[in-house]
Amino acid sequence: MTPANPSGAFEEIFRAHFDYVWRLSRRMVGEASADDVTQESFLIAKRRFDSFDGRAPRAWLHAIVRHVAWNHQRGHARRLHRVAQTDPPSPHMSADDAVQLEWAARHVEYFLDKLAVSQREAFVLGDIEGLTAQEIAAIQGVPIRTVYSRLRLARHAFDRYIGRLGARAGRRP
Amino acid sequence: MSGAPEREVWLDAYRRARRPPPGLQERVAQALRRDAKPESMIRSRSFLWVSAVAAVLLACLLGLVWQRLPRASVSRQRSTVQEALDLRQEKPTRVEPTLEPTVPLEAGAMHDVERRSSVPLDREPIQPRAPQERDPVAKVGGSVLPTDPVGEDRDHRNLALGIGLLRQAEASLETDPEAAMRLLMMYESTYGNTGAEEEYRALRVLATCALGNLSAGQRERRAFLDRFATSVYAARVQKACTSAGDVRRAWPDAPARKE
Repeated sequence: MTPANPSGAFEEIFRAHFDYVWRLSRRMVGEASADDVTQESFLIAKRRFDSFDGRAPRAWLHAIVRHVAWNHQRGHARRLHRVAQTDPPSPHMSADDAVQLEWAARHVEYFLDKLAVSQREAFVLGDIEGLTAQEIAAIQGVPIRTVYSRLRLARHAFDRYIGRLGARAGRRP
Repeated sequence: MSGAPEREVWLDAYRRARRPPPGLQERVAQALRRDAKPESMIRSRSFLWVSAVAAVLLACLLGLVWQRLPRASVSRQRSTVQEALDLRQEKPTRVEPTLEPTVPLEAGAMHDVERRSSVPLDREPIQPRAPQERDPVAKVGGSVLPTDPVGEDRDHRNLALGIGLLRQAEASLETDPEAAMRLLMMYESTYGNTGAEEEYRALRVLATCALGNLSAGQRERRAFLDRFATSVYAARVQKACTSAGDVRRAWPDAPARKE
């Protein structure tokens, strides 16, 4: 399906999924390079928009971001730079809202880093970014049943993690 | 174990904490606006189709132009020849054969140029002597119908201007041979193929000899006499280079040019 107004349709996708692309980029290349990867991804998306069939824009954008991030990550130095920039989680933060959010986000990221790659991707795409199981299956190239299985395992692990965290620190976001 | 609502609280906190920095979306939007459109156009199939059709049309157009060009040229040539034939009936100008000198050597050389080329220098030229007249057959035939009708006017003008330069060169030959040589070189570079080569070659021999360059002058003299043995300049050129650098001594009885 080709959009009737390509420019307007792309603008709509750009506005609706900008945060999603940035978060994907951030998870794939780190915060330092997330802005660059986001911009490059949207530039490529715009150039390829005439070949986009109009279905599952998030899956389509995910493929582009993954490709851009992969190119971005090819340099070993960049990878080391990203690792060096990743701070360890610090659960004991002050209680104001911003810090509370940051504390929760770092715990989520800490959990994600411990998760198996396939489960992490399914969990991020499904539960954080809101993609459907079909879209995730298309992205991962696996049957929908496998996606459901990965989601179930990841959710179970996450629930256990935040349960332990709440019991230990007595806090929640 | 926590359930889905608890999980969503945590994930929502993550989403809110991990938002793009303010201003980034606008910066990327500007970059997208700056991004040139032609690349996407080039990649699109429609653009390729349009390009292919345009190329085919252009090729057809070029073919048509190529086919029509010779016809236009022939028709133009025919009409010009017809005009020339009409002109011939009105003014059957003929050039006298130049196998034998018909003007005494004492006469002004440039008057001879004017007569043979039928181009009066003080008024608009009527019939130029075409380069093909160098052909002996053309000389004997004497017809001065333009053989290059397309460049007829241009040749008239060039011949008149070229002969003007030769006249100036001849005038300064005795007083300033260097200036005469410069004028001859100017003539050669500008009007060298306008039909007064015989006069140019003769004056060049005289100027070279007048400058004292005997060996080169003698070489050019030999070449001139071989090529234009029956020229009205032959006797004059024959006397050149008999002494070094003095055209008066080389040609003591040079007549004063009539104005």
